[in-house]
Amino acid sequence: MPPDTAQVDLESRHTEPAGILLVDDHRENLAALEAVLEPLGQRLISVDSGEEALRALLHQEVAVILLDVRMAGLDGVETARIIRSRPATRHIPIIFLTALVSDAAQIELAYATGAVDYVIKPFEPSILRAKVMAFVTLAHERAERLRQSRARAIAEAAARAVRTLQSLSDVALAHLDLGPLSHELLERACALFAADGAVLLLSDESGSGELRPFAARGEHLLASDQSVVDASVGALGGLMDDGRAALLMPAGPERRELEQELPDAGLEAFAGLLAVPLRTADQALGLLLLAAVRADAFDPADLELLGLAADRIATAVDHARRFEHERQQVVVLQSSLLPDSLPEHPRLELAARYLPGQVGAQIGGDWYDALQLDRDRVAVMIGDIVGHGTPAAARMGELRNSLRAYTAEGHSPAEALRRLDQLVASSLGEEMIATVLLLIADTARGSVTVARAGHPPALIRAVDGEVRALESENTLPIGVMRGRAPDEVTHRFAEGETLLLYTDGLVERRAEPIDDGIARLCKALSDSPPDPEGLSDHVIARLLADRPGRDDVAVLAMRLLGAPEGALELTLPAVSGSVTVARHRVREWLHVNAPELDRETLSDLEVALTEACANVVRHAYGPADASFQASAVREGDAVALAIKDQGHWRPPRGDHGGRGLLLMRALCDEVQIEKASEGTTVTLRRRLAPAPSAATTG
Amino acid sequence: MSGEEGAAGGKPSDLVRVDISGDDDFQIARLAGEIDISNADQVTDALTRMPNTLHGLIIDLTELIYLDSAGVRMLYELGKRLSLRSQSMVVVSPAGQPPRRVLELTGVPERVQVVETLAEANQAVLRP
Repeated sequence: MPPDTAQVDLESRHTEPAGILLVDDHRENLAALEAVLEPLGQRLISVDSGEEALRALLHQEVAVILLDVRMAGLDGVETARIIRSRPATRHIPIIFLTALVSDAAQIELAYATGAVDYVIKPFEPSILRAKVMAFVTLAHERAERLRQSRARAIAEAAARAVRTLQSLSDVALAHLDLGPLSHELLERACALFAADGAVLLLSDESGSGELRPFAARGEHLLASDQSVVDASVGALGGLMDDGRAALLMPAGPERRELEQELPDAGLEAFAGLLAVPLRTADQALGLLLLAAVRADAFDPADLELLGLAADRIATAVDHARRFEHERQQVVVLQSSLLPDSLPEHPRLELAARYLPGQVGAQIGGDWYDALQLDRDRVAVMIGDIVGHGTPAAARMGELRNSLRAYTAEGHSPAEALRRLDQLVASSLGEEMIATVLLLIADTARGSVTVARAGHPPALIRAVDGEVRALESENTLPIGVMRGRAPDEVTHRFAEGETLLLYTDGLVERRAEPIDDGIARLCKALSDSPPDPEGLSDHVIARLLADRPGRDDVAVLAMRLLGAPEGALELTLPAVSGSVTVARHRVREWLHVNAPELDRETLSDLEVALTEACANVVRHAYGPADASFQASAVREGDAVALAIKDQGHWRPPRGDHGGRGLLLMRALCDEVQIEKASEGTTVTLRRRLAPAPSAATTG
Repeated sequence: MSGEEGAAGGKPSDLVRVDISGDDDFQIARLAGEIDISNADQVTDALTRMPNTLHGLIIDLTELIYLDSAGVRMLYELGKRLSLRSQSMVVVSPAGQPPRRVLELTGVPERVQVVETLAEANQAVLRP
């Protein structure tokens, strides 16, 4: 706590006269002393008894006391002993006045009681004046020292307060998440006011006037009480309406009311309590409570500083709330602009991740997209717009749709990027710059064709974990190409290999060349799982684990799956002969697309498929003409068969329907039956590796 | 019921071949090929056109490459008809072949006598 400024006058100098207390039970002696000391120009206080002297010392500042030894009633020696015994007067020098030199015992006693000098009556005026003046000077010096030390203490406290206040503002800049920010603010507020604990209550952002305990610091103080309290009435309402810092007295009615309004906050453990509303110019943000175990820990002098601190805390909280609000908006906007789903291609497995930025308004510029161009080709793209916040997210949407259109029209990656650059330069605004990578994978040829506009290169992880970068030259960002198309390169993309596209948020670190980050990514890729989902999670975990305050990150991974020439699709009339046709076509397809199948697994799949088809023929339709679809697709080291109808199933009659399902379940690893209003789809999956146990069933 | 759609998927004779041999007391029906919902009723018809004096029937599935629940149902129905007339029925289905797996999974050996070889069947059919 800073010392009370009211007690020290920083302007006072030696000008103020010191008090000199004259004590003698003879008026004429007092008059003689007054006459001798008058010329010193100090303030003379004359009393005629020890009792009067003690009374005078209660109210007046005295630099030196002249005390007659022999007095009626309370004598000088006894008076001196009492003066010495009182803390407030202990330091005041006493000069004894004695009539006889021979009064040695008296003099000895006088010294024993703490007298600093004695004067024998009758006294030599000049000597007495000199002695008294020496003590006055000492007193002045002492007062000056005291004044200086108090001034220093005040100055230091003020400097500390300013630093701490400043640090409250610094916190606001360092933490943008309200959670960590509020804890830091509470810690500093506690340090500033030597408080033992603090509670921060924040108002409901809807403006309902409700407060919710948000954070607390200190033992026994809890913010876990998440119940909302009404801040428009009661003690809280009074504090909020008053708008000023308040010191709540331990037993005062306001204090008791506050404890009832915040029953779980734990305030009763603290005698001292300061409260201050947090406000911006136009709204109430909340309330800060500072608590101390000792009742006298806070005093009214703290209130002014608390008001200043509250202004800074309010600014920090407001800033964090606004940021969080904007961040939420951009995340929603961004997410709405990213594709809902990725293309499903029998030979390409895709996964993507988007992680919004965490610091500042570092969010809103990254995007990815993927679209199937024809049976064999899928285009994937990723980009990063320079700029952040809502405008960047909105522009990202325009850019993404334009690039998607150029690619769907059949333009090559380089040409699509050139057109995008032209569009940006001509219509979307000169200041817009973006990096983009566009890649088209051809599953039939086992190749990828890629062009880059200022974007870091895509990486390919081979089956053995080796990683290579798809480098290409001439890669100016979108917006500054000036009509010049980037180079386009075609690379091999083999079965089992996984491709990774990413934005620089994944690899970039301040004060480090981006190549170092790419090298780090290559290393993470080489010991990553090969499947796109696992790979995406792996590289994000590895590269971003220790990056709390990072930029936007987008990644897209794509694996080329081994083998077949695509799926088998059959549409057959719903008659019993069709089950035979379906079985024979699937048998032929399996011979080509799953040549490693043993006879038993092949037979299992045939039986399961035929049972599913037979169920459709028997149960799905009425007597009218109808059809059903059967398909077979290879899913890595598994085969999936799907049997789909558009009918409404009659309940099975007899026991053969149940027997069919029993066989499907026994012969496949997975039987999935999806019943919807438009029909039923049965999906059968079987791994091509060891057969499930052929246990007999009862 | 299951035969109501007829043989629209192709002639059952293309899918399965039924060879019946033997005398008035015991007969062997050799089934070769595939039996499913499209031809199970025809096979049943062929097998039930047996002399009324018959003591036992051996159904040999050794050369059958495909059998599913339609064939299982056929065997159950056939077995029921024969047993009503105190005629015995034995099925030959070697272990390790696909039809045997389906028979096991659907619990056929618990209700119909299933053996591995024709020799065993010849023995079994004499002792109902």
